[in-house]
Amino acid sequence: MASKEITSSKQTEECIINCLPRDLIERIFLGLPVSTLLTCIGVCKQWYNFIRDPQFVTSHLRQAPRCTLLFFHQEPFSSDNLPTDAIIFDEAWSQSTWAVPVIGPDDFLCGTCNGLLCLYTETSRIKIANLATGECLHLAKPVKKLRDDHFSFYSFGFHPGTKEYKVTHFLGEHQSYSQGTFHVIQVYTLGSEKWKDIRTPEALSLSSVKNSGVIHIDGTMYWLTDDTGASWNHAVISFDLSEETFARIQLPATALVGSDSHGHWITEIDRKVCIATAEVNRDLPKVLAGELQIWTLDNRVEQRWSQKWNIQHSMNCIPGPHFVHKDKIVMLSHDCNLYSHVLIGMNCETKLSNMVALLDFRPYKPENMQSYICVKSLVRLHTYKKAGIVCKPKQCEGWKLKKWEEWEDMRRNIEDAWNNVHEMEQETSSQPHRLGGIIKELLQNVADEIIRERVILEINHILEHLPDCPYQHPRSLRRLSLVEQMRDLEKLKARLNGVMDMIKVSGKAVADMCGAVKTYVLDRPGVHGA
Amino acid sequence: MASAGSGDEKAAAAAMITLISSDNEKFEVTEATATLSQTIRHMIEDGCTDGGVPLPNVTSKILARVIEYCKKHATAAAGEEGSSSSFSDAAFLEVDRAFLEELEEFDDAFLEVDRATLFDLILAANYLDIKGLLNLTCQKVADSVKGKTPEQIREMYNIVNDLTPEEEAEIRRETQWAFE
Repeated sequence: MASKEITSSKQTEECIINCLPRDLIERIFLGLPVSTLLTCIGVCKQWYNFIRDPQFVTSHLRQAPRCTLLFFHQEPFSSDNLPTDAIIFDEAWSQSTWAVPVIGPDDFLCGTCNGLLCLYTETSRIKIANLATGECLHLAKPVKKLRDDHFSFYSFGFHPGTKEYKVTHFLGEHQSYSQGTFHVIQVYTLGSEKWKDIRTPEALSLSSVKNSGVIHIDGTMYWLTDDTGASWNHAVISFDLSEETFARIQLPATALVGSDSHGHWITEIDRKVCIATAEVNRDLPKVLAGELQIWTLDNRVEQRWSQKWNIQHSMNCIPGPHFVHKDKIVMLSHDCNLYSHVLIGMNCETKLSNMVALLDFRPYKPENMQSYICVKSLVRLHTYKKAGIVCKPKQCEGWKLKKWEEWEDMRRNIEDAWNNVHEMEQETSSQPHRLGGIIKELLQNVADEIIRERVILEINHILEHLPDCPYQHPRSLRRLSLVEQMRDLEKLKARLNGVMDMIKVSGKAVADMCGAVKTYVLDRPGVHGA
Repeated sequence: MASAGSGDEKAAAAAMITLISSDNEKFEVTEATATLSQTIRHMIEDGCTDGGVPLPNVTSKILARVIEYCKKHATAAAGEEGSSSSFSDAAFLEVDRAFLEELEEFDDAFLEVDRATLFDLILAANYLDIKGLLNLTCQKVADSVKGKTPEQIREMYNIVNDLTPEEEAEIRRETQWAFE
């Protein structure tokens, strides 16, 4: 009995979690999001080593929930530029209102995989950043100051077999006879010393890439090309990231009917290559004018496609490259709202139902929105930092950068305004109570007890009917995404209007109290000054 | 065993299994309840459950709780199977939802235990290979560290901070741009 007691008291001294077998500790940690795991890293050495272990990082990545990343690159707005913004929805379509720290104000998104984002800027650098941990890697572009270069010509993928990350770049040609085509893909493997040129078997279209984007599935990238001749013949080109070889996949013939008036987009649904096609507005090539057909590539070797859905009455735009998330499709309306619909249908005739408004993304424009399925991971970049083409980051990072200054000022102003509103609310709502206290104190000088009680009753009645200030706490000062900040500004305006109402109510209460004193005390000669 | 007909299966569902805890207490449970544990399922398939199943790693206190969990979840599973054949789709969904809600409430109440018991349940669920119970109990521990600071976590689980100030500074620097 005595020995049992000793062991049990020893157990309480040791960490109960660290006593568990390794696979059980892993199971517990796998149930945690990256943000909590980054806190856990700072608990003790054992936890640090556990969470940083590459094997754990891989297991965590495998079961990480898929979120939706909406990306708005910078665009002109009144006299100024709106900076880049990103909004993340979790699996249950709950929106995060917070700003993503690794995304700069002039970044463009070229792709995402395993929780890493590939960001393009108009400078000479490409940035690889972990969305959740904030770790960044800056790479030198293969060609500096390339005319007509575009963020969509870059892409980023991972090959599960070789475990290599690769950045690719479609190198546009600028001779007048080959406008809008490319013959070379430049490839950079993270950790290696330089970019490598790989020639394509034929000239490929850049405008299709710009229009539809690139997708990655299991280490192969896919994009659309069209023969620039009169036939408008679309095809899918694939590029194996491990073998670095190309293949051409013909589109289903029926998907090509009326090709010149149709838009084609490549997408991924349930880890399969899919093509979406719809008649489009001739002047606005991204605005859908008819039903939306979606085809799935069932067999790559036989180039066999099957029609998955035929969606009637679709909304204005679909955001690329990922617009189908499990059983839902997201679409954009021209008034800058994002909606999700459940896809229900028989024999691919599909109706949109259960429409849910997800986001009002004004002032950003629908045609500039990108939508990606992404994850939050613990994947680290430090092992790739030794390579020669990796640039040292500037001394400042994130929101300390000079280019964020203007937006930081605006944010600070809004925060100050919120604090002022809060103070005003508190001040306004406490004024009648203060006056009531003063009157009650002064009433001590009134000799007549009945009158005294009458006035106190009246004042208490007025104070009791005063509405409580609905906002007891100042607003949290966490940095919001730009889209959210716009909504926040609207809320601020509403609160300011509310303050006006509060001032009126408080003023009336003050007047009523003064009135009560006047009626019961001042208007009765002999009562006061006893 | 595998080719047993449906008549035999019914008989098997009613068959009782005796589980023996480390402190020699005997528990009579139905086979449906016992087979939520993959470990016991394999023992039954191998036909070595005559005379009871000794579980030397599980005390009677914990085994009683584990059986409580298995009974509830075995009934829920049986209820679901039954309802799928006798209700229309809408009614089935309704019943299904009610079952799930009730089960969730049961799970929440079931997890209202002290920390030592929770960890004993994890070990028992692992040993008996009861996937649902293992996920449930591990998630409960995971949830307990969410939103806490490293210091609060250390205090909660008696963990000694063996990181040097330099290492801590390094960790802070590495995670300053982290995003929730």
